[in-house]
Amino acid sequence: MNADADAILTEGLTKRFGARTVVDDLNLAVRAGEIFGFLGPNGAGKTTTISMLLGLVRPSAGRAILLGYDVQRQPELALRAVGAMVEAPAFYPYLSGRDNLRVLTRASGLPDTHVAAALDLVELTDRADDRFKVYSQGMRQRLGIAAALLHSPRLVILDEPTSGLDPAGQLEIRELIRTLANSGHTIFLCSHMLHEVEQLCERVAILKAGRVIAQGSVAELLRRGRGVLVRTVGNPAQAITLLRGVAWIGAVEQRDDTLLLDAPAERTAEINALLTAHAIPVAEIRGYEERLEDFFLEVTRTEDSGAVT
Amino acid sequence: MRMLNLIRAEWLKLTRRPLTWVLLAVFLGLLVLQLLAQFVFLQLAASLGLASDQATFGAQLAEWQRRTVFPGLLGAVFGHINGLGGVFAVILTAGAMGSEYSWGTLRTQLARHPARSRYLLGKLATLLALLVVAMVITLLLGAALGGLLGALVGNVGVIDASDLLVLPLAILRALYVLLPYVLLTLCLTIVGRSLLVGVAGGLLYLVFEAGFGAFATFARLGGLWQAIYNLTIQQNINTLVQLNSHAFGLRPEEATPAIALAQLPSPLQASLVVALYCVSFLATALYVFRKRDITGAA
Repeated sequence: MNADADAILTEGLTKRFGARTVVDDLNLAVRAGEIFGFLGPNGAGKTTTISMLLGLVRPSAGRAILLGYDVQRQPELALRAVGAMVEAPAFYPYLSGRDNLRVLTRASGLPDTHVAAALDLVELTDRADDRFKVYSQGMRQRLGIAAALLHSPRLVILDEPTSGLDPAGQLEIRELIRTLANSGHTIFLCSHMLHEVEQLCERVAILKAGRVIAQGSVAELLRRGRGVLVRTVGNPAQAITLLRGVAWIGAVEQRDDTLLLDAPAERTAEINALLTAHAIPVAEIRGYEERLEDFFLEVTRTEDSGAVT
Repeated sequence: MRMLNLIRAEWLKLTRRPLTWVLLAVFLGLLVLQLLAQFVFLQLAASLGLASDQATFGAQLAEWQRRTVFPGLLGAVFGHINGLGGVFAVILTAGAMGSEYSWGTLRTQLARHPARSRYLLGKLATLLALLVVAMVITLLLGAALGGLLGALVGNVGVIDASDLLVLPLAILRALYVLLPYVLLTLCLTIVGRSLLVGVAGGLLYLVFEAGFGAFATFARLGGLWQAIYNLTIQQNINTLVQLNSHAFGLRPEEATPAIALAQLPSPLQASLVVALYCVSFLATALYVFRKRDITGAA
């Protein structure tokens, strides 16, 4: 494998179940060493995509390349250094957490020392000998993450890793993900917790109805959502006309009684002075920064969204 | 080596599973009941002086006598293994494969080990190894209990080196008899992606096969009828079961006139026909398992 190769590369990846296209012409490139967020509303095709990446679901068209190897043609090489947790962690209910991990290490020919290390990593050692069926949702998540990390993979695919964890647990897992990324692992993170994705991920792709509707760095995508928010008293038409005439103000967008200006937040005072000088009363003015959550809701609510990259 | 790793993992799963031990306990319990019932009946028959003037019943009593002492006792245990053992093998197999679907663990496993054929063959090899272990335990228990009961009445029988030497072959033969049922169940479980489909399918086939006995009537017409009947799994398995009985000095055909040795397929045909069924079931299971998408828990 080329050391500079993308950790994940999909080319025209498509999955159809009968007449229904669940994933449509998906083109993703996840760089080695980055934390990549994979977002989308329920039913967008995220889990099907992950299943195709892991060779569990056969693509109808296109291909997926993991760590330089084609998943369909060379599945063992492609998945050798991949750890994954897909949807709810699934383990044998009658086995303890430790024995569930031993099943995986035995099958991989790994020594049992990996089990203890993985349990330590997710802080499950104290309950490792309890049966999986008595585990809480949070403990199950931890065991799922431990299983994904058992063989020190270079690429880790995590589907909702903090689901079911309490805030402290979520924080720990986020820290763990950061630590993994800092030590050179590539993380493909699928999560509904958008603040989490915003904190962790360098780049994201947003999937809707099987198609990527936005892809790029978080900073890049959210730059469109930075500027100055103005709320005037009364009809804002005069303010819009005035502000559109200012050279350093880009777009002026009206959302109800609020104006969103594509302008540097540090020039908020100048905008205020300008409006006041023209006798336009200002009820509120401040710099604003769109969160990933706002961006996600905006692009996924829009019907027939064009791809944003 | 990879196959060995998979077998070690499957062994851990199967031997830690309560279902495995429950099945073995029930199976052994039924063997104990069978041996005790046989022993008590023979003692009663002897004390009441039954069957001295009835040829058929006398032959049956003689056969039952042979089944209670060595080496016939071992043949009786093999009869238990290849009789009720099929039902237990079906449940064990459906449980081992079907639960992977219902718990969603198949996805966890195959995401790590994408060579699906190897995974399935590893699971199958482990199931067969476990069946061999279960057979050995059953033989040991049967021999111990039979020996104890025989000692109570002062007739244990005789077991010599030739009986012991034939044991490994008999175990393999008994395993071969169970194999088509194991593979059929595995195949049905994979096709149905469900434990229930596997258990129901495997057991229904066993019932259906018993119904095949009705065809035996037509088989007596000979010719094509006999040839068709001799292609059923049951009839070929009968040959192999008879071989195991005869290997330990039993003569079930003397006690049960319905068993017509001359009409049973030859051992070679029996081995080939059973192999053909096994290959068909295994090939179907492998094809479907490799081809299908693996989704979440059922």
